[in-house]
Amino acid sequence: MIINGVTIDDAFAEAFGMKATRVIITAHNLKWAYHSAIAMTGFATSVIGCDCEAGIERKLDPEETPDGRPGASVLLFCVSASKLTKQLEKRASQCVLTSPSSALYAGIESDEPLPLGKFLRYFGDGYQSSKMIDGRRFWRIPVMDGEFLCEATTGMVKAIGGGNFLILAESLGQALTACEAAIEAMRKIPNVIMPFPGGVVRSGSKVGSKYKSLPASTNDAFCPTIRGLTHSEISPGVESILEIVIDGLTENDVRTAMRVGIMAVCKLGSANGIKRISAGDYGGKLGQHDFYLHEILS
Amino acid sequence: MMHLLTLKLKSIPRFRVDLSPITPDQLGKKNLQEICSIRLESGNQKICVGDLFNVSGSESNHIVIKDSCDKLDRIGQNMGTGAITVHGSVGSYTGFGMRDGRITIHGNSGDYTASGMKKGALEIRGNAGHFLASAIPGDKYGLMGGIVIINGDAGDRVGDRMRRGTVLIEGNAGAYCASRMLAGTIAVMGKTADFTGFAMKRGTLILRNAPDSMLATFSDCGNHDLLYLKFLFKSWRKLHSKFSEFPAQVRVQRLMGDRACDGKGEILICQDT
Repeated sequence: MIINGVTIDDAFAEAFGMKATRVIITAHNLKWAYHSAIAMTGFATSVIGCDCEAGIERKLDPEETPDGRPGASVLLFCVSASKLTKQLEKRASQCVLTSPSSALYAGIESDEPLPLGKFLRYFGDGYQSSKMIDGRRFWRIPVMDGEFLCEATTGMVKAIGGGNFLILAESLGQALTACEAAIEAMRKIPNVIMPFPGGVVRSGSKVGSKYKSLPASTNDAFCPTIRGLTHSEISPGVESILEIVIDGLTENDVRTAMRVGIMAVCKLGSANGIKRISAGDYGGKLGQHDFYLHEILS
Repeated sequence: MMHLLTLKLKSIPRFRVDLSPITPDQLGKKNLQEICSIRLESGNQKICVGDLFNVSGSESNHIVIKDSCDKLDRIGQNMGTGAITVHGSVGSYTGFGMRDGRITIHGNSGDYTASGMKKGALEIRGNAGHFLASAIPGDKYGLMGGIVIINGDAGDRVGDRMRRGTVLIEGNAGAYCASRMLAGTIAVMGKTADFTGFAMKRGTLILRNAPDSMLATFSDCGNHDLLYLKFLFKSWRKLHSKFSEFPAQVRVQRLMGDRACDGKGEILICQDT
């Protein structure tokens, strides 16, 4: 398959089942909502080392938030419910509770509740109070700028992590430009995040390592500087490769984001140095969800 | 076409009558004859429904009581579904232990209205007596859930040992409003009398007007814009009440107490409304 001179490999992205939640952060203005959201989603690029993958899904206008203030919706993904519970608690307490004027609300409904204010309330040292309004329980925790308002629970849902595609370009500059175009387009898709810095990862990994303590190591098949030493999958003329990883709430969300991202890259085409699009898999043995590039783009 | 089950009082009974057997869930699919033969406690006697009321209609999920008087007690007691509409005043214990559904009284209600109520909606278009949403002697809690709206005034001891739920009083409230309150929300649009918040442990009392006097055991915590009030006031907008017109956000003076009993209840007095 070739789109605008870009070769689409007959490859698939291998993704995994995860647990996810969405929370809504609001604040006095968008600036402070983003300070909190950025902190909450920090150090959350990969479950390999961070235990959590998180990102800002999108900005929320005042009319979209529960309290009528500007805000941001945040998605968090973990490999298990217990890890998600722990990560959410830590990130909410250290990054949202601490952030001036912030409030934290559930962003998704499900039959599986995750504690939110339920644990944070103890920070109130006995001065906290709860209020049940229209079937939703809120915790009010006294803090130095007034009250931190936090919904008692949010919902947890099954989700998918690790959707991906690789951009193979003639130069690093061209690969970056293509990724920026892809990310800009993908950020308009709901229910997905691209958890790496700027949405892009340069250190794509394979499972395992020659060092026993490491669960993952560099994806040598796509490393240009060692192409002569390894079983390289890099075609002639390619000098730089970048990857975009996608976590989404459903298969369809991941598929849509991949399609939109790849199409944005292909729009630049071979004229801008984009040679190929590929995807990362683990031999089809580890993940539960396979996203075939040709199928997604057809 | 189904007609609402209607009970029209023939004459004012000599003694008080316990109307607790007349709820939608208990009447179920009973026919008119069976309903008329239900025996109600009245003083130390029993009186048949058919002797007390003219009964008509068949839709027992919504019961209408006409020409009611203040001798009819325990209307909607432990009711779990459906609706009861009463034209005229009612006696005490209206909605006692109510589990769900809706009761509307086009008149006044007596003492202990909504005591032990757990869920649903109770609306009094007139005034309510003493101990509205309060615990009866020996009971642990008063109101335990649901919403109670009083279009008129309420008597003394509103929300005594109230545990959860909402009480909205469009008129005035008597003395000891929110006394020994444990949780939940009471809002009063008019004035409150003496000893407001006496022995209050937790919960919220919202006052549109500052009381003439406050207990010395309440501490002033200053004026604030509390974010949660946005949610609370928004939840009132759908109500058939003056409270639906409450502004979206109101600055409040926060008083906390009753410190005489180590209470952390809050009295919020609306500012500039």
